[in-house]
Amino acid sequence: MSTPEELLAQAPDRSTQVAARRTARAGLWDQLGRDEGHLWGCFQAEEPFWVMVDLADGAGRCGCSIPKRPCHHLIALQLLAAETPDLLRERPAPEDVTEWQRRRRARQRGADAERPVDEKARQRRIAEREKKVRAGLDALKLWLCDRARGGLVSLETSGDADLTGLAARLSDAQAAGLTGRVHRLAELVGASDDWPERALLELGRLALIVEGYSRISRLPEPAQDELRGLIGWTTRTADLLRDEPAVLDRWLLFGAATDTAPGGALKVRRSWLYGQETQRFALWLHFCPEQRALEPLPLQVGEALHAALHFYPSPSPQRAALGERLGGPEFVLNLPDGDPSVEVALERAAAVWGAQPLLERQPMHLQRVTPARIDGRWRVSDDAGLGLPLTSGDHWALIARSGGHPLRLMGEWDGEALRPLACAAPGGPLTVVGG
Amino acid sequence: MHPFVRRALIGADSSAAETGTPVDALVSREEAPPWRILLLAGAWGAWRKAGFTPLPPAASPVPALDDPSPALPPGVARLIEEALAGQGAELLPELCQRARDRGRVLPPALLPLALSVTEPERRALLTPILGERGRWLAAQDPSFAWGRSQDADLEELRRRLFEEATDTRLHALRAIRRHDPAMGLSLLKDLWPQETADHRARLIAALDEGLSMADEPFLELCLDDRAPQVGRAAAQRLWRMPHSRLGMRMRGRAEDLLRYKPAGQGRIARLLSGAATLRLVPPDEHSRALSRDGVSEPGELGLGPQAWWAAQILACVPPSRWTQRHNLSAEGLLSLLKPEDFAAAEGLSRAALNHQEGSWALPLWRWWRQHEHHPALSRGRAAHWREELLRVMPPAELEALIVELIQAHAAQDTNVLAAALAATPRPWSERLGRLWLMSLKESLTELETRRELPGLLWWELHLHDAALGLPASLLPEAEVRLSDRFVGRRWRLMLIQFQDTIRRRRALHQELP
Repeated sequence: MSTPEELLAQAPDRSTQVAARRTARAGLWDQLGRDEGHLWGCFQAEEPFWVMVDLADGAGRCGCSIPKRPCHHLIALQLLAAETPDLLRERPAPEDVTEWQRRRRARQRGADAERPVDEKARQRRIAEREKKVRAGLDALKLWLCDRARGGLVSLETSGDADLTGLAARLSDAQAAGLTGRVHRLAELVGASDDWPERALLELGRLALIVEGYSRISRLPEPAQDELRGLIGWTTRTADLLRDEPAVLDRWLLFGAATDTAPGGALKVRRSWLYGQETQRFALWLHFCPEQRALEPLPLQVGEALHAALHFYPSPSPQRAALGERLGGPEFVLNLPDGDPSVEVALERAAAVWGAQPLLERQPMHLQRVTPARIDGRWRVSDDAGLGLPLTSGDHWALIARSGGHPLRLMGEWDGEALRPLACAAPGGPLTVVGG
Repeated sequence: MHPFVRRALIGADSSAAETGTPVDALVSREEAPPWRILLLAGAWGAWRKAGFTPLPPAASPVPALDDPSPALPPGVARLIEEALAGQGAELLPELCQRARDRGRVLPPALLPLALSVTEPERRALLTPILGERGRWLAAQDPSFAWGRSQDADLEELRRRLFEEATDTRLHALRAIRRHDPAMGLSLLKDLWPQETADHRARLIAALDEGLSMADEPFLELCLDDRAPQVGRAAAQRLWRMPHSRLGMRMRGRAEDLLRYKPAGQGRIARLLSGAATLRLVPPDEHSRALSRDGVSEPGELGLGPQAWWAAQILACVPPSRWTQRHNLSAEGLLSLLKPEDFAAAEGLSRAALNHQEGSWALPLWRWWRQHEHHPALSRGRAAHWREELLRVMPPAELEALIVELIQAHAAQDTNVLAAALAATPRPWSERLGRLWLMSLKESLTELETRRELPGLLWWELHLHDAALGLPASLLPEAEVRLSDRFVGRRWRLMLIQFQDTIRRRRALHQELP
């Protein structure tokens, strides 16, 4: 069962959170109950309606007319169950609830059913897509050269419409993976004093992708897959689970960062898992539309799942999908050792970027660093005093936790700044900071 | 700006653009120049990422000392966090007070939020529970500096008094006065010559903290300030000092105004001279001397100018002066006062407040109640004083009055009861709490059985104070269950809010017994 904070964090916006808090009052509900896998209750509006939640995946159904999901009734029902479990006694499910359960099961069976694959048609679709993408990237190359010829100032003068139009054309060319980079470019231009440098580096990354794709057949297979992934080819999770080997381990959730993807339409959560035996990091991604709430993770930071992960092919595999779950989540008492110094951590990161230069960020786990704000800049320093800058923002919570003493820190390193996600005092449990 | 970026910024159709790093060798010079620049930029970005050099050592702050006080339990910390974010904010005083009484401090995670508050009242509540870690963190950023130590950090307060904006300066001067009234006065005198008239008038208000006869000479001097608002502010402080020169002058004036004539001794004498009387004889004209002593000229509150002057003069004399002078109780004296002379009751009521004379509060309260419908009284005056006088009423009398009001449950007493409950020191006594709860439950039963909405306003006005005032021992009983047969959205919302506060307070008392 999730904590009230986690439940509230699922709300699509602040007003839903407030409404959920207000609605989580026993007096507003009738026929509250639960069984092994479900919660339900009848909300006493002018016309009472049923609210029900499947505990296995957090899915729910609510009879209200609010379009946001989860609505505040769904969250409130779970809050009631979390905060005052006595109110939701075990009892036989009413008819509306059993009917809903029956329909869900039927739908899931339908979705899981095997569909015959027409291999010829699939190959034809791939070829068509390759053609479209190639044309799209050719056009992108022309656009990039025009900008380089006209100078970065032309980005500022041509305005957002130029970049938005480019993003739309790339999307039409089925190279949607690049639209995020174009939106980011639009956000960068004029946003800071050093925007020309940032924009140039972003244009450079786009150029490397275009150049790489022009000679994709000469690249090793994992690099081909990685590049296709960057451009926008998606791999169905079912295919990944079938085709890629399972890496079985106790996967510790070290931290998670949630951002709005450039362009603002999508919310993305990057969860960093660490295999306690394989001693490798895995990136577990979740997406949802901006106005919706991400589905809750099945484990908390500091807990581990005994499960199989399947990694997406890459020269330096990082992204993975969750396969079979064997157990957990369970609290991890002995955290693995992090890098002993900033230099060691940077060397490790350099090796990964050597293999995969287009990787945007990497997990970084430092065993003993002290966060501080010195001369208006956030940083962490290791025992030798060598430091890394922290991302812009507010890191007082991290500094308050450390009290000027070293702590274990896990975060995301993008080559310029470290974004703290979790920390732990020596011997203490992992605590979320930032994210 | 890096020369490579500068070249890219202005646009370059030449192959000369290079990064000056080993990546320049990676891209063929035969590529079209714009494309080469872009490929170089891509490679340069990867090269920089992979080759990041650590920041050199820098002087770090001295680490925090271990906190001898344990941190608050997580549940209470969450309640404080929610209160700071606006949910159940009215509970912050009780939460902080309890944490302080139990020797607990805020957990580190909550410190940045706590140190970000700007309201002086909240800062005063939080300061004692910041702990070692909080004070350490406060020293790390100027915007947190207020939390570095308690009010006794006089150096910081002095700095703020001389350097900050007026509101902060006023707060700093008040804090200094709380710590050392003489030092506060001396600092105010230092500041005095440089201040504008408006600032002088505002800063005088800080003398309310620890006001004593030691401030009298300075305040008396201020009466002659060329700015009238400064003189008025000084006079308002002196009105509360019966032994000040202004107080003595006012007493002399008041004794001329309030004239008591005892009844004659014996039947014959009584027949000849009549019963005892208490009359108000207002001054004929306003004078410069009156003006200097802060008596404002235009009439207010439905009083004619003369009656208004008289009320202001009476307000400067402790009411006990009259009981001593005429050897009569407050009730005895007030029984002689006619409603037509309500300016005297106005003055005496102000005096009871100015001089915190609780023994006069209930007699005056009853006088106003007795005469509230008299045509001579301006509208709302009686109601005003019936609420104001509660502030100085001794707790036992206040409680007795509340019990009386709850039992009478008269609609016209709704506001007064709400004010009385608000003025009752928290937590309420067990007796009062029990009586109030019983009354609430009776109303709820009535609401359910009759499906009507009795006394919505009655409850609306004091449910909030009750939720904060009920003693901890009664909190479990205060969790009233709302039946589904319940009607009335406003009732429901009101009770939900009440329940929320009760639930939070219960959690506090359970987690921090």
